[in-house]
Amino acid sequence: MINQIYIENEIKDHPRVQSILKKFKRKNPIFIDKYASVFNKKNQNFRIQKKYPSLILSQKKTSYVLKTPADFGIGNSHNFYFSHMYNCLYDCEYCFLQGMYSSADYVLFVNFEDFEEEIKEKISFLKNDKVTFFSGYDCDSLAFEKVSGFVKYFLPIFKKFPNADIELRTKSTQVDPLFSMEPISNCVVAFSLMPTEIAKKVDHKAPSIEKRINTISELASMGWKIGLRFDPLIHGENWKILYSNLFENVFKKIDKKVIHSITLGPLRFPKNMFKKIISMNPKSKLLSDTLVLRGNKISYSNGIEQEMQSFCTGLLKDYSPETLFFSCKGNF
Amino acid sequence: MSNGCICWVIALPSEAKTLIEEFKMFPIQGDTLFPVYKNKNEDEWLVITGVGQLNAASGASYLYSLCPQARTSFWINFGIAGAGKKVGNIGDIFFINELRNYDHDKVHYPFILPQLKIKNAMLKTYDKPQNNYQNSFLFDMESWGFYNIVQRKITRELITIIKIISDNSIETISSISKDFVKKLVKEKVEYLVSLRDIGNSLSRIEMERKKEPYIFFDLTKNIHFTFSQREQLKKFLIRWDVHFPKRPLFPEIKDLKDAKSILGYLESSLDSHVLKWE
Repeated sequence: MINQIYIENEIKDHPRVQSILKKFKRKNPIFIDKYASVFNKKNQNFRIQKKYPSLILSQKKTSYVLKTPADFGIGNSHNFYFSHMYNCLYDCEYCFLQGMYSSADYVLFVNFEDFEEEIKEKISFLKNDKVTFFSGYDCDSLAFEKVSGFVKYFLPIFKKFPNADIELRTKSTQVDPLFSMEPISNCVVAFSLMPTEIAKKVDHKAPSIEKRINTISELASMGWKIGLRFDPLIHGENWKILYSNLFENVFKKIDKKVIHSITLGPLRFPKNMFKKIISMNPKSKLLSDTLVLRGNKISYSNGIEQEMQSFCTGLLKDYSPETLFFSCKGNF
Repeated sequence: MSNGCICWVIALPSEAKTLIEEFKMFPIQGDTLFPVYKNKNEDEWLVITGVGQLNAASGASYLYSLCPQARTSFWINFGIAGAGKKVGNIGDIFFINELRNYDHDKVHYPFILPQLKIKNAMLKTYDKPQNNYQNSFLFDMESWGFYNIVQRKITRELITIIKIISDNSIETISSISKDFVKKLVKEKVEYLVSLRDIGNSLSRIEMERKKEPYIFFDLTKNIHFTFSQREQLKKFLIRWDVHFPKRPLFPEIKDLKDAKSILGYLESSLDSHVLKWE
C-alpha cells in the first residue's frame, strides 16, 4: 500500500507519471523540486517508513548504467547494472538496502528513455563482446511491474540486441508481462530462493518459496530462461537437510534444460551498513546470529561460509552441470 | 510492549487548555523556563512556548530536556493558523504535509501519518502576523521553528504539525479572541485524540527498538563495566533476548563476579547457539 505520492515538478506532465497517477486515483500527490527533499534525509527511520512507504516519482539525471562490482556476473565478460527504482516492496532481513538508505520510500525513475539510450551506447561500444545488464540491484525487477511497466518497456529493447543479456532478478510471482509475451532468448528471469522454513522467517511480504517455484515452473514451460539465485545462503540447525530439500523441490518441478545459470552467495553485509541495519532491526534472529568482521564485510565465519558453499555446490552438481555455476558475491 | 509518549508544543494557553483538561495533565512544579504540563503516567507532555519561531524552537528544546522519553516520543505542534483563499473554513483542521518559511526557499515534507482522516495542506511560517489572505496555503508563526529544531533531535516520522483555521479572508485576524480559540479546539478534540493514538503507536515502535535490555541496569549497577564493555554487554543482552527469550540469564551468571567473566559467558553461550528455523 502506498502512503503518499510525491512527484518532481519537472516531470509532472510526463506521460508515464500521468499513467501511474491513474492507478492511484484517491491519492493527492505532493509536488516537490527533487526526490532528495523527501528521500534519504537525515533522521529518518527505515523501519517505520517500511510500514507506510510512499512513492516518489522522479527522473534520474546521470549515471544511468553502472559497472557491477568485481566478482559479479553470470558468464559474460562485461557486466553492468541499472536501477530504475530504489527500494523494494518486500522486507527481507538480509537486504543491504535497509543499510544503504535511511528511507524505505520507493523512488521510481520514470525517464526510461534515458536509461535506454545509455544501454544502447554500451551495447554498441561492446558490440563484439557479450554483455550482461542486471536490473534488480537496487530493487526487485518485477514486484512493482503493475505500476512501473518496467519489463514491458525494456524487454522489447533487449530483444533487438542478442549480444546483450538482461537479468530480471525477482521474488515476485506477478509475472503477467512475461506470460503475455514470447520468451526472449537473451532475457534471464532469475529468482532468489532459500529453504521455505528460513524464508518464512526472513523474507517478509515476499511470495512463499512454493509460489516462486510454481511461477518458475510456469515460465520455464513457456521457454523463458531461468536463473536460480541461492543468495544468501543462510545457516542454522539442520541447514544441510533444509537446502537438500530445497534443491530437490526446485529440480523436481523445473526442467534442467531451461536453467541459464545458478549462483550461490554467502550472507554478507558491508561493514559500514551493518551497524545501521541491526540498529533498525535489533530483534532480528538472522542479524543476531554470530557474524564476524572479515575485511570490509560482516558475514559468517570463513569456516561456515566455505562449508555451506561447498556442500551446496556439491548437491547442485547432481542436478546441473558446473558450467552453469557463477559467483554474484560482489566485493564490497 | 512499552506505552508510547506524546510531546505537545503549543504557542498559546488558549490553544492548550482543552488538551490539558482532556488528557488530564497538570503543571510541573517549580521554576520552569516555559509552562510545562504532564500527565500522571508521564507519557503525555505539553509545553506552552509563546508566539513566534524562536519561542517555539526554545520551548521544544526545553521540553526535550525535561521529558525522559523525548527521543522516542511523538512530537506534535498544534495551534491555530490563518488560511489563504479556498484553503478552508474557520474551524477546519489540517495536517501539514509541506512546510515552508517566508524567508527562504527551504522546505520540509513532514511524514504523512497513516490512517489520519484530516485534510492536508501546505503551511508557511512568518515572523509577523499576516492579514494577506490571497495565497492558497495556511500560515502561522511557529511551525518552521518547531520542526526545524525537533528534526535535528529525533526521527522525522515522529514529528507532526496540526493546525485549525482561525482566520481567513472572511473573518480576519482581528476577530480572534481567547474564548474563540478555545471553542475551535474543543470542537476538534476528537481528531486530536485519534492523532494521539496514531502517535502513540509510532512512538511505541521506536521505544521498543531503543529499549535497553531489562537486566542491563541491574548488572551495571553492581559490577563495574568500562564504557566499551558496557556497549558489548548491551549487544550481547539484546542477542540473548532474541535467541533465548524464555531462558532467564540472571540465574546463569549470578556467581560471576566481574565484567570480563560475564561477557565471556555471554559470548561463548551466544556463539555456540545454532539458530533454529523450523
